[in-house]
Amino acid sequence: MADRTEVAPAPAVTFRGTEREQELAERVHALLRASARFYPLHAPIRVPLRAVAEYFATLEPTVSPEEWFAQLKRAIEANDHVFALEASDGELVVATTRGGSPPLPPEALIDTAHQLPRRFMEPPPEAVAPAPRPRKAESTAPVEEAVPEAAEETAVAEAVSTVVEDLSLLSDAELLEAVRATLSQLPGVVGFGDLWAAADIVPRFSRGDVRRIREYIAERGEPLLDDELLEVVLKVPSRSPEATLYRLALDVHLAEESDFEFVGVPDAHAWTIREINPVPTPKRRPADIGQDYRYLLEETGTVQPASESVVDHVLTFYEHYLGVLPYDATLASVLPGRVFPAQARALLQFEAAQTHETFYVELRYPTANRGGFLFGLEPFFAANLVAGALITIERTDDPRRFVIDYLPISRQERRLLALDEKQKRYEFRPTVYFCAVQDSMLLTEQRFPRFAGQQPLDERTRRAYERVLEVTFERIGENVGTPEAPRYMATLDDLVAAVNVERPLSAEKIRQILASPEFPQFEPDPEVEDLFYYTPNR
Amino acid sequence: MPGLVLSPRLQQVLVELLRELGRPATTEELARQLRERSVRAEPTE
Repeated sequence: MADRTEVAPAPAVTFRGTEREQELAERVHALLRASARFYPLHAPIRVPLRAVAEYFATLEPTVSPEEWFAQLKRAIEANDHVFALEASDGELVVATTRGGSPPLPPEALIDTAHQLPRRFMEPPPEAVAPAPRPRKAESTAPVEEAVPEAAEETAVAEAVSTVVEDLSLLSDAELLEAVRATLSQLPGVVGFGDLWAAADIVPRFSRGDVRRIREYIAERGEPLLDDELLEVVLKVPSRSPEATLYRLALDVHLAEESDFEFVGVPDAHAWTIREINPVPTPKRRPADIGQDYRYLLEETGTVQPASESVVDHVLTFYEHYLGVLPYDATLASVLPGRVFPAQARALLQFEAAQTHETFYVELRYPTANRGGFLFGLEPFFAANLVAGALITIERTDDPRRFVIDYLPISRQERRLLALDEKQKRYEFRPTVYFCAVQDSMLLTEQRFPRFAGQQPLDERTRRAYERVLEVTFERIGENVGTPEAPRYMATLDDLVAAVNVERPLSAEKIRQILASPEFPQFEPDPEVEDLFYYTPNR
Repeated sequence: MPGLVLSPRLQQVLVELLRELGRPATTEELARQLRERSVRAEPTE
């Protein structure tokens, strides 16, 4: 199919997913590029997914447009590093660029070099009209509004940003925000993360330098810090006086290279290339895991990253099975924040205190509609822990490095819940473990016998919180009604442990759903705390 | 809350600061120096 479009796939673009998904993604990308062959490399190409499916159906009519739609959607979702799926007027639109990356948001594509505010700065103004003092009623306001008599066109800009003239009205945090926002737009200034310099003093690197850096990362086979790249490849000693300037220059330069990806954290700027990714893909697609953790978006907004040195966590079945951890308020307080707002991921190193092994873990930062999470812990969890295990995550002096720990105990053997991946059924298996657990999260046969033989929920059901809760009540609750008119009773502890077999959901979120008038099928016990009922067909 | 952007005059001061420093500076350092310079320049009214 790609051949019929007469556009060869871009050599730099690699596709993910199953063989079929890779093939479809490549065909879609070739098709989209063919429809936009004169577009700039990073200009967005948007086509309704329905139209693409219909096109494929005309070429291969044995498959219906609906089936093509579903297959293409899966392939595109598996390749979220190349495509974005956007909803527009109730229709799914597939978006990409000729360069093979999801399009940037519209604001990032606006060339601000010729906008009025910038043009006022070049050449620098010789005289500046005094800004009006704030009116008395506004004296407590943190910022001062721009000149009210401004021309109509500047009024649009003011709607999205407030121009500050009097710094005494700003708190330190507000001033930092204003300086950061201003520097990021100023011509003649370059910056990366939290460091800025006048563009004319920043050294430039040749194509040969970049090629050697690329080769060095490929040879080492892991993400590398800018310090090491400077020292080894570019022969700039990291302790030399000009090292900071060169480090900034290198970060700024690599950020503009499409082959390189920033995967570092504050104070440890690491870079990798497309083919070097030390974290294996989890069993479930990262985009789907992000969807599962969407409920976390409500709680991580106000957390100060890296404000705690150590945190505890109890593993759920979902986390243990997939080797993931949630980027929730607790874990976000020990993990590093983003270096720049658009940073999608960081690669961290986890050191296991008991087994003395070190492995890479990927931190996916939250997006507008997906929760954040860590993945890459599956081998460690499978070898050492069970669902219900208590773990701690501790920061070290190296901002990329964390210690994962658990409390070793004497040999325990229980029949614990497991998923038979071939039969697609839950079962209880004799399991030996040596780690301390929280009993309320341990999924034993004695506690939840009716789980045996159950099938995992389909994707549509698991996405609806209330449906997962309804099924869980039926799986683990006690029927206090009659066989003809059942009414299931369950404690919050049991529900949290059992719901988190199918999908992640916090105790707070579960409690909130069960008490919500939106779902009259659920009701809390009026006298006993955290005891709930589910009446089907209510 | 809308974003905050410095006025053209303060933008000019920031650029001058960076040029005078002749080296990279952090946001925090620039904000502190900008505030100091702004305080020194204020008593003109």
